[in-house]
Amino acid sequence: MSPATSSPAAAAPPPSEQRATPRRRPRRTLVANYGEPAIWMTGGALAIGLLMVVGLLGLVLVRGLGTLWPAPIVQVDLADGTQLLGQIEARERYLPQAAEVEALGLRGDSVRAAMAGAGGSLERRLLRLNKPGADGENFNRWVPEYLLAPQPGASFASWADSGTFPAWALCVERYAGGRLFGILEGFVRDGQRSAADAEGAWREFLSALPEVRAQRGRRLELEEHAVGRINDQLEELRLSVRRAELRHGATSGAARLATQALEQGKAASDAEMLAIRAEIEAIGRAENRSALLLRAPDGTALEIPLGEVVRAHAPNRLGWFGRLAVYADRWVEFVSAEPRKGFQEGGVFPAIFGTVVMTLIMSLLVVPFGVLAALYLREYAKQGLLVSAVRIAVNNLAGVPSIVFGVFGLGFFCYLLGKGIDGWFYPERLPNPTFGKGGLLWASATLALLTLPVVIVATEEALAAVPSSMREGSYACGASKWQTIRRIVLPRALPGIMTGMVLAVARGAGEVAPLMLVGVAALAPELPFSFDFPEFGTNRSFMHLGYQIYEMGFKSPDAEASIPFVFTTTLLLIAIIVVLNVSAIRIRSRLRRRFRMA
Amino acid sequence: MKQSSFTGRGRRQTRRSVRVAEQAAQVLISIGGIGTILAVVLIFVFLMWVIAPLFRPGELGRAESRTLAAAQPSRPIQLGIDPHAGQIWSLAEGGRLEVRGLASGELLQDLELELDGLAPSALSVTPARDLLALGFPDGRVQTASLRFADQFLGAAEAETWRRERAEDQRRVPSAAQGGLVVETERGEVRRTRFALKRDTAIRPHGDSAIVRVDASRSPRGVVMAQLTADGQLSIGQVDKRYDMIDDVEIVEPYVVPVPYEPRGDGAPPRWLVLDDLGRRLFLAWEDGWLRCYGVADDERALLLDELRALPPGAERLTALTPLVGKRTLALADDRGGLTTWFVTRGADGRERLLEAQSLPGAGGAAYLALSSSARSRLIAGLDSTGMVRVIQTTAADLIASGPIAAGLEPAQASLAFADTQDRLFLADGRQIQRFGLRLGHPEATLSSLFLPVLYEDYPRPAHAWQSTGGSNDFEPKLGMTPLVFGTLKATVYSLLFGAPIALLAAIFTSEYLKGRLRSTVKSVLELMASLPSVVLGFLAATLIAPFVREHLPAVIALFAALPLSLLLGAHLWQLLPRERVLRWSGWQRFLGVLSALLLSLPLAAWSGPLLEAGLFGGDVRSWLRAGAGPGRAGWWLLFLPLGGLATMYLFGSLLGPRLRHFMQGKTPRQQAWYELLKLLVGLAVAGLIALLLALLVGDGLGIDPRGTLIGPYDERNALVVGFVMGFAIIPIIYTLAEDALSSVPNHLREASLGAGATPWQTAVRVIVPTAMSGLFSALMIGLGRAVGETMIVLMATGGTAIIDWNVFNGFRTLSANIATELPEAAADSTHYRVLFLAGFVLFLITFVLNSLAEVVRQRFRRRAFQL
Repeated sequence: MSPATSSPAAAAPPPSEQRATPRRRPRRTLVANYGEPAIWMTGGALAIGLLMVVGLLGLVLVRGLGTLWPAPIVQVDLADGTQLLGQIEARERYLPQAAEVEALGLRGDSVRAAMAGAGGSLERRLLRLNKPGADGENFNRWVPEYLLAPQPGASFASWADSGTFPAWALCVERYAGGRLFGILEGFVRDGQRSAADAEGAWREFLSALPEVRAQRGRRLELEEHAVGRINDQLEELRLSVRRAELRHGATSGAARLATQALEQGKAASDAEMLAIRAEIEAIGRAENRSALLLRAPDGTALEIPLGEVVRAHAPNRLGWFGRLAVYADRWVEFVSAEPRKGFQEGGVFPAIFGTVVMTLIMSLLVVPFGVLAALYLREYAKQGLLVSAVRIAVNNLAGVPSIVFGVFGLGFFCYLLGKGIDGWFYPERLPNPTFGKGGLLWASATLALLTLPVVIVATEEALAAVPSSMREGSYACGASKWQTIRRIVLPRALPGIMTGMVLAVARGAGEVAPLMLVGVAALAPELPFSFDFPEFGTNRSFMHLGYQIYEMGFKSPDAEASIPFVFTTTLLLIAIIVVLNVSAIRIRSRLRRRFRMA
Repeated sequence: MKQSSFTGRGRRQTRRSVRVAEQAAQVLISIGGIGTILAVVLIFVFLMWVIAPLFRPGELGRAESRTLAAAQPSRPIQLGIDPHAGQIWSLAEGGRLEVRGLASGELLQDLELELDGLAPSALSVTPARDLLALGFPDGRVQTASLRFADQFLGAAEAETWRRERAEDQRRVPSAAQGGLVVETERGEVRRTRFALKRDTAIRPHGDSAIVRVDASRSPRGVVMAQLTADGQLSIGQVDKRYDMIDDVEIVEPYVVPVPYEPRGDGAPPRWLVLDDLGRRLFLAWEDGWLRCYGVADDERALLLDELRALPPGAERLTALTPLVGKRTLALADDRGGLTTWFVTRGADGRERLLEAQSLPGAGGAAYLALSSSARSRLIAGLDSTGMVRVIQTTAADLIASGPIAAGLEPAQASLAFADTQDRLFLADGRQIQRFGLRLGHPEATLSSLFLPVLYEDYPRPAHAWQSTGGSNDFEPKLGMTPLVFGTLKATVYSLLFGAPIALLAAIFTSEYLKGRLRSTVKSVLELMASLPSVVLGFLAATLIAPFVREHLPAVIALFAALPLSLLLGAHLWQLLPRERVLRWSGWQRFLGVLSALLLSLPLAAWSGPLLEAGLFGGDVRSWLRAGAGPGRAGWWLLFLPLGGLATMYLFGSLLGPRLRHFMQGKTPRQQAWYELLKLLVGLAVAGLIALLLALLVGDGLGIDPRGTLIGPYDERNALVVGFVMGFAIIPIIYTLAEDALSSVPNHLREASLGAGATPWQTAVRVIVPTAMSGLFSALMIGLGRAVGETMIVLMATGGTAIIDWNVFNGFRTLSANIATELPEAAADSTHYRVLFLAGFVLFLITFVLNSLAEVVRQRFRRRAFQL
């Protein structure tokens, strides 16, 4: 059929002639038959795929790693006489609109001249600045070159030779509000100005900060735990009143007793509360006795109480190692602290915690059941039409969209099962749901169902890969079926089961759509863990890295400002999932090698 | 069983513990395994269980009747039920309003609605039963608000009440206070009392008697419409200001006169209805004429339409009721017909009355009374034979019907729904009858879910999804077709991008890469599968969509530049000496491919703006939006792939044999040069064919491409989704396809090569056909993934539910719709169940696709095994 063998030239001569000339010159394969262009198209497709992966990962890597790096603080004079002080977030060359240049009036000519010299483009830099005033909101502003104040005698200033980097330009990160940029001027200790020059002020600051941090820790401890504990006790008393009323009637002795206990509890807690409040206030006053003195770019003096300061650094003074230290410190904060400032600063610890705990519970649910199901299908069930049908169904379940599992989870776990549990075990809390709403447990159960096929399929494959000769050998030695499975089959299948588990975990950790229906929250007030018996906080809604990306990068009204932070979150999530996947692949390849050896 | 075996040793007994463990393991594993598998089945069953009630018909219970003491003989024109379904009021002609307890039937309040001793000459009540309009013989009109007020008794008062009531009584009418006192489930004592608050009366037109009046609560306050005996019609409002200085309230009637002309015999209309916006006025005469007036933006009223709203054979209207919102009227005629009408704007811009639905009729017996629900688009009708029917008007669906109990005169009766819509009441002045009513989910029927429906104010039936609205009279639109379409659109565009890339890449990997490069490439592409879709959606929304919007011409140009530079690269590569090409068929060639690919990027960036200036008048987006400039440029681009295919066919089948003959005698280098020439000629021919087609379709047939596959540009669109969804489906299709290609037995490959075929010929004619079913099943699985993808679609599309193939606008898929709406849907509501249905549809689609793929793959495996 190939054109090389049946070309018209070969078909044309009559058979007799062909026989007459048996030694025909061997025909060469035509260049066209190598299909080089077609091969290049297939190769191009592969290259596109590779570029997509590499490009996307590179993008996330660069943007995600850059967010926390302490950028230098630049001070520039603008042509209109104002002065800007801020961090350079980005720089680019762009093609200005004609109207933009037109609006400059007379100066437009020099700008046009400069543009002509640079191929029609200008440089602009994105500066992160403070809004005027001390409340310290940040905003980003593109500053094109034509806005810069020119040198005396010149009519145009380029970014390359504008801007200074004052040594004592300070970037102060605060618990509330954004970063504050200013020139360090002095330090106030106990209401007295204690250092005149920046050098001294910085030393004072460094020596005072640890103590203030410790005080703040104590205050937070009081505010969160001590106050929370009292509130919990009161709530428990209130619930016991309700429970007694439900069980024995509103006028019963038990209810009256519980009401008395509640009254006593209230009185006791009020006194305790007062003491705690007083202590909190005292600490608060002590925290704010010392302050940093800064000068804002518009000349106003700013006084920042140390109680508000998370971290301050002077990036222009720092060498590589100094910056690296700040960078590392920020990463530590990122993975260990709670978010600040509408998810534009601080950390994502609650989301990491939520993701990890959810994945953990999910694995605890999915692995035993998945392995049981696979064992049943492979070792115990009678192989036949029904079992292959079940096997196909389980396989197919892996392809069912995750949102469908979310729908099922919401309807079945939250509304049916959860409401049932509430009615049976927590009637005193109704109509407030305990389990009858989305929460960590139900989210884990939903994802367990979602990843069940992954575990079943992987385990089945691993079980099937155990040679039947080993089973037969075991039986021949007199072992029972269970002994064979436990001693021979399972140990050999274990790496395969592990692979399935890791793959399931990787799938579960990256899944967001079903979680949106069964209990993930943009901002959960508490971590989904407590020592309350029997629910251990698993009924609470929780935060999740993936959902954080959706909420902060997409739904938040201030998405523009939180995008750098979302990139870092993205990097973290991808890193977790890639590590999980790579380890699954490693385990699989090691397993395969072992089998080949055996 | 003690016996010796042939080895001579006594047979050892299996230990008890081993046997127990064996049994226990057997039982446990079976229970666990079967249980887990049942859990999987449970998903299917549970979804069905939630959906099933959607399609269960409604039901009307048996009537329970109660005869009233001290009954008023006249026919009630309107009834109202209190929110706790404990009391009923009835309003009779002449302005007498009675409030009675439903359980006992005893009279709680008896109000005469006279004004200065004059009985009202016209009356009407809104469908929500919260507003009463009164007209008087002296030309004055007045509104009154109606409501049932709840009041919880204080502890002392409640104690007294508990002492005084009889032992087993939980609801006690207290005639002295005109209300009903009830002890609730939670132990509180609640008094519910009917309260009528009359507003200031105004006189809009002098002292001619008012013959018809209506009122409604519009966003601007209470609006009234009235018709006087001497033929003056107007829409009016009471403007109240409080004068601070004089400490008096100034009442100023504000009246828009309506140009009313009496009909031939001068009889006034039987019904007058003012809509809830106060902008439209309907008049209906008993002989079937229907008229509609509208108030324009300049506050002038004009006649919109007038027609005879009767089917052939019918002579007169017997009953009329406005639906909630009062923009739709339901009319009953003497032949038993029941129709709904509203005003809609036609294609010519004029507003006309439109017969929306023909509802299930009374079958010969005429409806004598109609009543609409205050909360949804339900009406209840009572016909002359005593049958009660409950009808959903949007779907024109008869929900339930049943006969009234004996003793009630249909001609004298009125109906009302309870607020909870689970009961229906009838009263004729002497008797009250109560029906239990189970509605089911009347808004969702198979036809209203999947077929076009004529919604209120729409000119024609349409597919629409709009599940929730702000106001009480919102009509939920639950057409799932736009969502199914959106899912289809997402799938098609992402497969159009992803499937060729994945399949071609799989062919290249399995046939032209060897060793470590191959495993590296495979694992990098498989890494793609582990990217969470939320990350992809985030990048699509924040980076890719803005980038594509900014550089749209370059992106469009890339679609041409990419294959172009690859083809050019390949032809240049062929110019190398034959031995080189053969020796460099490994990573060196792939490097060449990569660099050709990278070169296409600047090529696209350079040619994009040129293309934009040359074809689209300098701005693609405004070309797409406004339709500025002729459409042939768009057609040309759209037809380019078609032109390419036609050229390939032309060169391959028609010129192929000749070309081969011609090439036979040339050296490879010469052949390569001719191939290059052939490419250039082919490109020109392809462009020419596309141009011809574009001229034919664009200018010849006069079809504009905008509005077909391309159209106005949205930032978040199918193009972006198609690209980003590629990240999700490429790795899946690629992995499965590559598996299928690699599992083609090697001896086939070797035989083909040994017979003299080139690697490419082997790949196309031996490997791919053998692996075809495997490739097909890979596609199916990729399709399944694209159908259900949620986060990417949610974040990278605008989420508007429209039916439009335009690449440059968004859509709403089933999955994204579930993700956004299900958290807010009330459990067990119609909306909730319909969203479950959407989930079920997704489940079914993917399940069927995957099963198909599985069956095909099994067959492929068997075939590959045989080979």
